[in-house]
Amino acid sequence: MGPATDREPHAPGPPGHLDEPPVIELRGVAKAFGIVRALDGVDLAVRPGSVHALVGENGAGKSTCIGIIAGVHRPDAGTVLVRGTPTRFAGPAAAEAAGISVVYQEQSLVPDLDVAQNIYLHREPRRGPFLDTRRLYRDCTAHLERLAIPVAARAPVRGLSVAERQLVEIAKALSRDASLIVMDEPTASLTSVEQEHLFRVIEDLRAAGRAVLYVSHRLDEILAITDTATVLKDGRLVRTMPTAATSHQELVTLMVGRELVADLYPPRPASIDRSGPPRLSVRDATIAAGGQSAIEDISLDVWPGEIVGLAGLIGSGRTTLLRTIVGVEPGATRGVQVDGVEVDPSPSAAIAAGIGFVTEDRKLEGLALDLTNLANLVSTTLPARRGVYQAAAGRAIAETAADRASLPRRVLGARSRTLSGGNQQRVVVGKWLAIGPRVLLCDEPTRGIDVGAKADIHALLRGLAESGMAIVMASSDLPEVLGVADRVLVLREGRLVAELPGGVTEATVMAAAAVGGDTLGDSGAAGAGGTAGNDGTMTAGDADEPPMGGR
Amino acid sequence: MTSVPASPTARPGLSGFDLREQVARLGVWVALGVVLVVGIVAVPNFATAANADAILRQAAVLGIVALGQTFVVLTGGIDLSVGMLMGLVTVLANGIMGGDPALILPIVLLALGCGLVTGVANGLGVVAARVDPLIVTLAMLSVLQGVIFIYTDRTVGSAPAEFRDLAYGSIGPIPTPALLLGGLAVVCWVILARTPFGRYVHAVGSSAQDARKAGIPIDRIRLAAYVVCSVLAAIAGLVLAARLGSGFTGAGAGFELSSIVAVVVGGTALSGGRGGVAGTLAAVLLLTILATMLNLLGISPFAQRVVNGVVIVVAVAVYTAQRREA
Ligand SMILES: Nc1ncnc2c1ncn2[C@@H]1O[C@H](COP(=O)(O)OP(=O)(O)OP(=O)(O)O)[C@@H](O)[C@H]1O
Ligand SMILES: [Mg+2]
Repeated sequence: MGPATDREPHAPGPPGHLDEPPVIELRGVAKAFGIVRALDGVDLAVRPGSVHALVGENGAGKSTCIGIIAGVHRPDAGTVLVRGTPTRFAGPAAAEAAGISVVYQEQSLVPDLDVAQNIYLHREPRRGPFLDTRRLYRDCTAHLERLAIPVAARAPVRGLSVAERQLVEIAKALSRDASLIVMDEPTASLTSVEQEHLFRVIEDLRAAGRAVLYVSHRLDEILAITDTATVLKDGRLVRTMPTAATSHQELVTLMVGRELVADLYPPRPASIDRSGPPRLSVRDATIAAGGQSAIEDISLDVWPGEIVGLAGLIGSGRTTLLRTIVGVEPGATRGVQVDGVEVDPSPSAAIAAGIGFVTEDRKLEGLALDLTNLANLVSTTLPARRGVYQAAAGRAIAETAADRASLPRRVLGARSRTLSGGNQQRVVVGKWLAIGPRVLLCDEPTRGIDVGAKADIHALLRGLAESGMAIVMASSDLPEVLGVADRVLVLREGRLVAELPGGVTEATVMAAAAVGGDTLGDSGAAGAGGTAGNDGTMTAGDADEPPMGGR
Repeated sequence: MTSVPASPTARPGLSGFDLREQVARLGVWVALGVVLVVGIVAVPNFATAANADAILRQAAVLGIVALGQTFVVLTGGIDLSVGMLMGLVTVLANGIMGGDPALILPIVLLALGCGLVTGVANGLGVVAARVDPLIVTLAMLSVLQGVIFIYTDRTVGSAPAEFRDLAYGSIGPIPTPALLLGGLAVVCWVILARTPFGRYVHAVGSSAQDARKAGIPIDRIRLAAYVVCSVLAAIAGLVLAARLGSGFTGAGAGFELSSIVAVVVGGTALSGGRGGVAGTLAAVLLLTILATMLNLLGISPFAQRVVNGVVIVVAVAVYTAQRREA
């Protein structure tokens, strides 16, 4: 997160009940996948009443550590102690029985079941030998209401957005009355409102004497809500320390192993030439489904060299807008032009027109997890001569793409499933760079990516823009949008409600994204005048709110 | 936990999602209705009590085996050995009974035993040896065929009249085999829709990894699905034995494919996770009625195989197209 964070940090609580034995303790745990040593002699103890951070770069072994605690992986060496007793979990069910519940990084919801069926999976309320369906939905609705999660208990999981699924995943973990709740990047696709909310829930858990093991790449979160932090690097323990005694800079240094100037967004160009024709032009994108429109009358222009950020809360329509532009939303009407040429609403037409789309959902849409990384990287280009795939050309393309996405070349032959979450994200980004796009649409491009690589991706996007590409970036990480984008478009309930210059304060954007925007008043939209808003692309917003762009 | 104002209500799912789900679920019933109307209006001798009776009797055998196949396909597996198992049961039942009604009960137990053993073997091959179900059950098909031919290489034995009632009797106005199919279908529906086991069958087929993380013993669920499938195939074999009246070695040929056709046409995804026995039942009726109509119109029974082949590709194509959009 950027220095512009204006969230009040939660006061770190007492450092756990030190007299009680740790809920879970790992001693000298090692785990290898084939030749990859994912964990090597890791010690970790999580105490009741403590919120314990686990940080490290992509591939450092955080998720593997969690897999061992959750009974998904069995350690090759070392001991796992539950409340002081050495234990070997036969599987996830055993860990659950021991009071451990997990929010998985890659989410663990079964797509064909609905929300309630997922939350209570394997713990269904019963009447005799039968399922008690009525109680299932009643309990689930009550549980979701208690957590203020705006998702219907009967909604099929397959139809939920990534962020909604993330919330359901959290609700699932919290429904188990566990003594240890493990959260692997729970906020990766949440916007600040939901994050805030989650932090309050975590605070309550701490107060109730539960233990929380918390993984995130957003270090500001770590500093704000955790009391102890453990740093892993290359599968080894670097250090465990009280969070109060460390700093953002120190965490980064420990994680990366060298000093890194963190949180420096690439410099924006002084001005962007908007005199020529726009590279990407979208007119009146609308999806009218039933009485409610998913998005309504959204128009925007993006010029070569420009990065436009999309901000908004969950359900505001960011993903839907991007999907509409590439032509994969059924029932959408829109006009899309690249360099003045109309693009038909189909993914292949979009690719042919040079539109790349880094999708948010790598598990279901972004990657074929059982193919190799090389195959995924070339999947957008597939160099062929007379219908025969050209392996050498493919490898060259994949290598270039891997380099640009800072993915190590040695993993090209491995299946994508074996990569850590952050490295999978780099494959998704890389495969779209392979088409040499003129327009790049990114939905959560740095989801789950560590601090160092995040800066790399920001620099990469800026570099691509400077080479003439038009970039649209949606992200729930607001500081990122503000730090990277030249212009920020704010969506609310499927409408474009504001257009702001990059670098405005978070409060300004949140005010526009949340309710009326009428609280905006004097909170810093000044200076917005210069950028755009005079190019006619902006819908002025609802009649009942003042236009926020040029003031 | 806390009472924070809810963030703005998320829009409900993807647009039109539910409609598509409904089409996938109801498509087969609509097709069934259309075929019925066409039959009644356009095919001579179709709308007769005798024909209805014949259709129900004929549907029973395929229906029972397709119910079992539904369980396996829902878990994301497939069972190619069901037809040969039905053949083995037919041959053994009629061969051993040789017209003696005293042997009916032992034979029923023997058939169920064959089903149990075959199912456990298939299931272990899939979950313990981790071999692809296509290979495991194809191998089982070969084994069962071997057993049939070790036992006999010609049509043997005969079914006692009491046993033949299983296929030709009636209880009230309803043909016995149809009643058996209906009863089994209700039991299967209750199991799949109303018990934890049924829920886990869907979960394992939808995403085995995630089901495992929820603590579901995925191997046991898969194994159980193969056992249910084989036991139902054995019951179908008994009805087939009663229907044929003698132990014909090739009796079960083709049921592996037609049971899979029925499951898929009924809306169950070949990749597992969604579907159920109601659709399968409708598809069985649809396929049986189509076959009868072709018969009444004097079209070669071998043309029915062509129809089967075409129907499965069309059904899969339609369902896949829907899913891709969804
Ligand atoms: N199933 C698997 N098969 C092979 N290798 C694996 C598997 N799971 C993880 N690995 C490897 O183990 C190492 C640690 O991965 P892990 O997922 O624990 O990282 P992480 O710290 O969670 O990273 P991220 O921040 O990107 O999520 C990586 O090198 C990864 O490629
Ligand atoms: Mg991870």
